[in-house]
Amino acid sequence: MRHVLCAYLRHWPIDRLRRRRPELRRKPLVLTETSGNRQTIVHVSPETPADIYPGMALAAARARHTEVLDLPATPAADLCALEAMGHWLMRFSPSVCVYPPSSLFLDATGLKRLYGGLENFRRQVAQALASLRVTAAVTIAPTPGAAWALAAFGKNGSHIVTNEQVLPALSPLPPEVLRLDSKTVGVLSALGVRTIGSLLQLPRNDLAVRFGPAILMRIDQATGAAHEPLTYLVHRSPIRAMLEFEGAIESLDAIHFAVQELARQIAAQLAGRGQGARELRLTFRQPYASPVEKVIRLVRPCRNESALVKLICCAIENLEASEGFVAATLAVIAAERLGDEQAALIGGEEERDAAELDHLVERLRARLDRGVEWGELLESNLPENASRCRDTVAKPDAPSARGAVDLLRPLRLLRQPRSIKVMVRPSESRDGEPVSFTDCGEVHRLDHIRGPERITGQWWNGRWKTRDYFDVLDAAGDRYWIFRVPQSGWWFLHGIFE
Amino acid sequence: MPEAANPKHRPLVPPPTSARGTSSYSYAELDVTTNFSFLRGASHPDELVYRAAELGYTAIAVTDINSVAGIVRAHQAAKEAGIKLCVGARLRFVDAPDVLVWVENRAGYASVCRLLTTGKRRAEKGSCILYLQDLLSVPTGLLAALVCRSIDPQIGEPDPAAIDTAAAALRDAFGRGLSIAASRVFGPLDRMMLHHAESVSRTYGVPMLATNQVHYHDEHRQTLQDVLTCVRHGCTIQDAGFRLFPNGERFIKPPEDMHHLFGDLPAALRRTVEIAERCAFSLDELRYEYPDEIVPTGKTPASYLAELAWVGAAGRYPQGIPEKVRRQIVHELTLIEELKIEPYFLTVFDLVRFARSRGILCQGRGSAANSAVCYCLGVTSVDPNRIDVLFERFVSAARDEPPDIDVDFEHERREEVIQYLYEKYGRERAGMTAEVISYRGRSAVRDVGKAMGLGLDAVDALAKRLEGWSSGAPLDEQVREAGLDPTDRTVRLVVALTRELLGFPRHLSQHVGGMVMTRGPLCELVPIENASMADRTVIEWDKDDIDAIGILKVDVLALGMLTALAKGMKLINDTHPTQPPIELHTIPPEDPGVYVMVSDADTIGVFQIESRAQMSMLPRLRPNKFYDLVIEVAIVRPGPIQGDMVHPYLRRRDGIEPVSFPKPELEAVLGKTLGVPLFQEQAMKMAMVAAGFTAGEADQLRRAMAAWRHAGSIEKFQQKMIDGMLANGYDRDFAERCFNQIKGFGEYGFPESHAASFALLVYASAWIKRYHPAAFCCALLNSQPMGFYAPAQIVRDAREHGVEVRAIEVNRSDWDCTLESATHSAASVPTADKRTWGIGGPAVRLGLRMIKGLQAAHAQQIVERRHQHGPFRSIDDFHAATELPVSAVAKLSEADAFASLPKSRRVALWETLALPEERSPLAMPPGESAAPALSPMTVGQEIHADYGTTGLSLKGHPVQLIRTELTRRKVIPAAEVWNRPHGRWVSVAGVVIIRQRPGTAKGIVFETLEDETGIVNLIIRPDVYDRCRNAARSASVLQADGYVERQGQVQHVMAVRLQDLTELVSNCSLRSRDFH
Repeated sequence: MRHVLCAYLRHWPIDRLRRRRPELRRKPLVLTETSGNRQTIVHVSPETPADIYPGMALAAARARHTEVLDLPATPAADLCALEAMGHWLMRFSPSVCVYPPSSLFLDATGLKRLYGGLENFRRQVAQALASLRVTAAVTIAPTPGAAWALAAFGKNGSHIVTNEQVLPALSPLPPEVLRLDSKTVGVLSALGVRTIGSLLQLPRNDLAVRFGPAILMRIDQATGAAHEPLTYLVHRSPIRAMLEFEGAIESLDAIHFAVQELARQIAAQLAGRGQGARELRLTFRQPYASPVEKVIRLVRPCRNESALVKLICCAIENLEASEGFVAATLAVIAAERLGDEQAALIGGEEERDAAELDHLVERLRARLDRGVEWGELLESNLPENASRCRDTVAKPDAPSARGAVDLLRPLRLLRQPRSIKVMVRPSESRDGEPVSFTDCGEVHRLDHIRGPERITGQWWNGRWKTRDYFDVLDAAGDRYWIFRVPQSGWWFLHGIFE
Repeated sequence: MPEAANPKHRPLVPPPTSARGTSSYSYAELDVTTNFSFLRGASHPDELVYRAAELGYTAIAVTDINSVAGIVRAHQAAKEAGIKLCVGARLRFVDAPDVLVWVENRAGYASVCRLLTTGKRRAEKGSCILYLQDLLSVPTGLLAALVCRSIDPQIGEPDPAAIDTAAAALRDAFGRGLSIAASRVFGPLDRMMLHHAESVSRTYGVPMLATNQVHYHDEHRQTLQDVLTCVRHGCTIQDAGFRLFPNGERFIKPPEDMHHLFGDLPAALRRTVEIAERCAFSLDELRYEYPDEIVPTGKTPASYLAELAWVGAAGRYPQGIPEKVRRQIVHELTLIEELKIEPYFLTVFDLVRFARSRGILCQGRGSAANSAVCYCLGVTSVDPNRIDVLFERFVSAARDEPPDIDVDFEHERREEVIQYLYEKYGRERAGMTAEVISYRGRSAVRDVGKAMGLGLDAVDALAKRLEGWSSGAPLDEQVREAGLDPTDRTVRLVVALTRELLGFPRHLSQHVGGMVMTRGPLCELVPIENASMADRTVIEWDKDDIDAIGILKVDVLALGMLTALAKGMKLINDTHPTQPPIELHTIPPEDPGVYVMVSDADTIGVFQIESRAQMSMLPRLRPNKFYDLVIEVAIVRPGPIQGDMVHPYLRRRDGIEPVSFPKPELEAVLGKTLGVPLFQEQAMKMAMVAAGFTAGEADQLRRAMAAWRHAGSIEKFQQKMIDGMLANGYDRDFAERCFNQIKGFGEYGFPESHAASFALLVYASAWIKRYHPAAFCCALLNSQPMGFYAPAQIVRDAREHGVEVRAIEVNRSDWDCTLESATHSAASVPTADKRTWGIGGPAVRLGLRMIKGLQAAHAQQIVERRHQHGPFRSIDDFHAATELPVSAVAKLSEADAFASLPKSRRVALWETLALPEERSPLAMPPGESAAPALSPMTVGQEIHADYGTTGLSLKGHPVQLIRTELTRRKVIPAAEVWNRPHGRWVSVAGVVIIRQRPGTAKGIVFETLEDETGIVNLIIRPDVYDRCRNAARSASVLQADGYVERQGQVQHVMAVRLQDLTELVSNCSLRSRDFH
């Protein structure tokens, strides 16, 4: 006979969040969903006052209780974590099924003897979840439907073993425990059908005519009259490959061979899972010293064998090992879904160029062992805020902003504007034009000036000062970008044209 | 969103008194974007004009983007400041760079308006689609300048090739009237663009013109302009980037600065003055002319009006015109002729005649509406014999503007009247007045907060703190309450910017009913645009602008009560076919029974006097003649309440206090109201008689009160009025009260003439309620939504008056509620007991319209098929005959409309669910399968379901379900409260039917509870409200504990404690629904 354990994680999104952020424990907390300008509450923690409930506008809740914390709900992350939780629970039963949004089924058939009774099994799962600070109702029943119904609506911890016990246990529960759609539940309630008991008294044919076949299927799945198949998680081992050598190897050729072999194995494993590597860890074991490790991060997921080999070779160029290596391990730390076609094969020219650039970046990173950065243009009228550098692993998702290039900006901008002395004409005038400037003791006589270009400070950040920029050419033919702060009359050198 | 209602005209700021600089440099700013280029310009038109005058400019232009909406205000300011205004616009084309145009003469103005109308009528509301070709075809009377600097930084400068093409085309069209506008705005491309402009200038022989692309009057407004830019783009200031101007140079610079900037281009500076001189057009030239159609050929307006008046009079007084009325008509006609405002009366008459021909009930109100002439023309039904009319008071010979007549129409049929006007005068000659929607506290803080990057929640919290019509920026305390730190830099900026943004126009909307008609094309007077509503077109100016220019406007307003009255009178006339039909003016006047009912505050559903405040006033005022109703309507208003005039009036009326006048000269003004000023015109008149204001000043005072941007101007008037009254020997207390009253009138002015028109509707609706309660109930239900009360209260009130109300029933109900003959006809004996008034009269059958979510078309289908098919025999029969979708049948079952088949709700629903969605003609009728064992509903469930589907129940009241529990809690029924003495502690409970927080009540909240025995009025003081905020704000069933407060016939419970019982009732009605 079949036995199914259901763990219904009543406050899963909140429990998950609190596992990561312990400071949120025991505080009234709600999770919200934003659509347009409206924030709606979708989950409430048990500590939240009773007059705040899911479906309520956050603003309405705030009006009632100001002390309630709110955070955005993250259903995708919750689901991922639920899957991870499912994998973890495989230690209790090899067959675990994730039932979104917040339930897990464990096949308990035949486990009775292993755990010394089903109740023991149930208790162990419940305790394990409790120790992880996950609120869960855990039940066992002969069908997934009944187990879910009892977990979600029944008394916590109840479990039933025989088919005969199913009906009496379900009868007093409301029809929604059968996992019916909300419209059907609403109509049943209007008809005065408030329990499964009274639902089952209605003629089956009449029910099917009125509500469609789904309702009969759900009833049968709960009572065991119909089988409900569950899709179980597949156990996944980490992707890694290892080579052990007979004695220490030192020759470059041997190492290259090893690298090729590792990459081949890894690529094959990745292909089998439809994934590409984003982060790899390469470990070489030395005979008398601690292992040498190298982490390689990729800009885009990849499982192309030759590309991986090239990349690893770059990474090990400066590896030092006097005694040689006795073993090499290549492990995938992070992988992402990658379609069957390699982008490089089907992509247009642009796509290929982008891939080329990515590979270049990856190799540079692997070789230089230091962060390689993207220069990125930003929209800002303030020159020093008009660009920034960012890490290459996180690619800019939006196309780069319209830069300040067409605004006739110098290519080199000093990190910090440098104070300079300037002669102006007419002299003493607060807004005279510069004639010459002295920078680091060197006098530059100015032949050409263009400007001023006036730029107001970011007043919203408390920077109210204005700058008057001049684009100037000195007698030596060098072009500079200097500015004056009208409020103080001070001059600065800010950039050099090349 | 900015609040839509009541964006009163901001008062014009008095021009700065400081000595005006006269500059030896001559320069005119011709490129000025005001805040009527919404979310761009950061100064009001008047601020810009005054600033220009202060700097010694002799002329300034206003050139808003595809609009002339701001020029009336600029014009008024320019007149006051003694500076020349060049009327213009910045035209934005789909296919060319911007072009500035200025108006040389009236013809040029007409072509700009026509051009903008063309562009706006092509586009949807609020936008304008123009092509360069549109401008090239109408160059008469216009000067133009091609703009070669963009005012949208994120778009970038215009393409040089496009400038060349446009310059060539424009030069051919405008010849010497064309310039090329260049600006030095300290941008990186200044020099390049200037070079280009110079080369275009040389190539095409077009003179250069210097401008500064002004967006604000003072450099400090740069911050606000940046914020507006963010609001326009929907971004925060941190992310705005290149959408902002890089600097704050676009303000009105002193002419010498402009000379400094354009030192190398003196011709470009001279050109500004030259153009300003050529712009000879002033808005003063616009003359309003009445449409011709209203007078038949061969007649003069005067003779035609007189003819209509006398014919009308003969009709109104079949027994002969009373001498008093005859003299009045002669007098009024003379005065009208003197003021030459006959066409105005004829225009209104035309509207009313149309409405009458379609059977649409209407009623005029407004200053001139209650004249004898209007009564004869049928504009109003207020018999001049019934009320003393002093015509001069309404039509002032001093003010050269047409009188004010608003006409209310049935709210469901007003659109017909509006469309009639469009049809009669054409889209070119008629349009609706615009309403400028301005920033108020809440909308301003919302937009500024968002732009400054405060979180959505913080913005929300802050906006919520600014309740209702708050007109100010948030105070420190409110900021703190919203959980923000008032000393934080960003928060301080938000508060300061919000204050500046207050009163800024945000967009144009349509006025509630102002229609403008002209003799010539209206689109040559002001641009016309499409409204968001289909078939409506709106002009760019609002009603204050129209007043300023002197354009005729007729308010075509919608009034729910007129719909109800029309329906009520039709029901009465249909049920009494043998009697002469009831009409507004044939309702028997001065019926004592009506006044007795009104004095008892038995006025649920009666026009105006059904509100809680009015109802508590009625037993004190005890109206017993028509004029008492006029006072009743006017007295419960912010004006008299804030002026503290209500109690003095009541005391004088009751004879407790002698009627006296502060000074004998006021007797003429205040005689009718026992020496207490109650009406708006009395207050204005007092400002004139007692404080020495001129008529114009009094009017200005009223306008200043209506707006609220600059507190300073109000204080000045206050000082002047109080000083004036003190000087004339009034005591300070009285003077201050008078002033407060005017302040109260500001926002909600209520003159006697309006009150009189309303009082007539009060009387008419009260009369119907008293003598035809069933028709009254039926008509109100069929006119929903309107009035104060929900259908449940209207039905309950009808039943309390002995009217039989019958349930919705597929075999009997129409879409509307209908009258059915009574089952037993007890002779209708007049009796004082109100419970008998409806007995013997017809019964009300609730209509299908009461069912929430049922479509009218489906209801019509039911009624139609019922006529062909006869009564339905079963649900299947019903479905086969009506062919309604199953979902509609399900709605009917849930609303218990099959009860007579007889099918209970649940059985009906069960059967409905089995109906096929598509019926094939060959299908066999299903055999009557035995109904399954569905548990019958309890009374509680029935009531609950009734409320859920129709909003009312004839089977009982939700509160009765929890009566045992309430008794346990020592809660007494509402009817019992009457038996408790004043001051006694009681507990009451009921469904909350009204929640009100009047602005005049200092934070006190009024709520009304209803249980199965009656209603109780609660008074909730602010401290109690704060303590029990959740219950007070959101409970639908409430328990209140407190003291009985009784004053004569008026009683309240002064709440001390409130509890939310909503759960209790819903649990109870679903008692059988027990989970777990």
